[in-house]
Amino acid sequence: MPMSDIEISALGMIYDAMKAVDSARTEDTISQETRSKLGKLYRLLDSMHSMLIDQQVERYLSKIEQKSADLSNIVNDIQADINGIKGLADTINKAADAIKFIIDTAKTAISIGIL
Amino acid sequence: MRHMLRLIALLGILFSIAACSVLTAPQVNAVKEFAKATDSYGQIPGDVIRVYRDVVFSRRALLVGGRLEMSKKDAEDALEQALTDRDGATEKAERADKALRVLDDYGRILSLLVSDVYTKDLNAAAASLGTELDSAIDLYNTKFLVGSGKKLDSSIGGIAAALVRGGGGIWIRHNQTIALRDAVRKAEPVVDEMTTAIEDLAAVFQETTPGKKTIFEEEREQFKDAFLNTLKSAAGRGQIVDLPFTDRVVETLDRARRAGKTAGLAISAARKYRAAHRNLVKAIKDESGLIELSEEIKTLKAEIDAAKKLQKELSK
Repeated sequence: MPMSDIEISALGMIYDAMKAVDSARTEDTISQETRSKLGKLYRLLDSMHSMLIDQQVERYLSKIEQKSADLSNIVNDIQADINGIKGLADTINKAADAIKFIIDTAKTAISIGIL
Repeated sequence: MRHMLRLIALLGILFSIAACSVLTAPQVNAVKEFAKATDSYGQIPGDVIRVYRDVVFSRRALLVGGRLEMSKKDAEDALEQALTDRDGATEKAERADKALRVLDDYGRILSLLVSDVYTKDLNAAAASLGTELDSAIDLYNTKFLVGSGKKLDSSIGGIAAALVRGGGGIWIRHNQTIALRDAVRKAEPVVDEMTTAIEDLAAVFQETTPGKKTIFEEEREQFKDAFLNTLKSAAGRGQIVDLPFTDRVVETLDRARRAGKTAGLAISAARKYRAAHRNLVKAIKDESGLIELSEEIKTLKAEIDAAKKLQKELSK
């Protein structure tokens, strides 16, 4: 479970408080000043709630970013390995070309009577 | 037939000397399938944050719009807070997208690592070498051995070509195997921890409060209650909430209901990714057992077949 019992309880309490405050601020009997204060209280509770969620998201997001950097290094290593394999294939091709060139030169030498 | 036996023997020796272990066809397919299956996976966790952001913003925006008793200052403050928090959530979703893009890169590069493009390139060089060698032997026979009763075998070029193609191919595949095994071995703990963190991140939105509701469900209920309070407030003032406003409320409620599923899907996807990657690592690591050995021989056969095919083409 990503959140502790205390954090979950806090979320539940904030939700309940938000509902109660929102219900109270729509009552006709209260003054405009009280309504405004209740509005502020509602936003404060809403902010606290968002902050709590944000903290949790941030906690795991940071971990994801840290692991992303590790995996990115592995991806770079794989790319280096691929470059090495491409180089190996090139070397084999070049070796075959070099042997071909030697044979070709020998053939020319035979044709013109040097060999 | 004699040449063929020599060719097979030579390739066998080459294979043994190099102590080659090469990837089997099912292993290559497993890597490709994994890459295909996990393409675009990285977008999912960011989407959960975006959906939550939108649901919260809708509630806040509609509360501002629906509460006619609110003072201008209160409305401005409420809207400012809603916009600031929305920006914060957008930034977090983008960070998640950026961090998880590496999983797409990882799948793609594994697929590239097991590609057969590197061995295919050997065909042309090997064929050219074989032809050149055969032609040189013909010339040598004509110039120096004519009338001697001796003759060099001019089909040796095909064997040389097959050796270059077969031996080179096996050697390249051996290097691909080592690189792949090393890569997935290093990646396994990282992928495990990363997918667990993704699961935890999505699970934040699946947490149940003491009222046995998830964050999305609480948010939905919060919004519904706020709307009912708005109706009550409007009725008390002899006002009527207009239809477009009500439509938007219904739409937001529905969105919040569906949004809850995205977190569940993200958790499930993270678990499946981790399990699929573990199986992939196991399949690639496993060098023992007859099945594996048999598959490895099949791969070797494929290399020899490619060499034989080339030799046959050159003999025509």
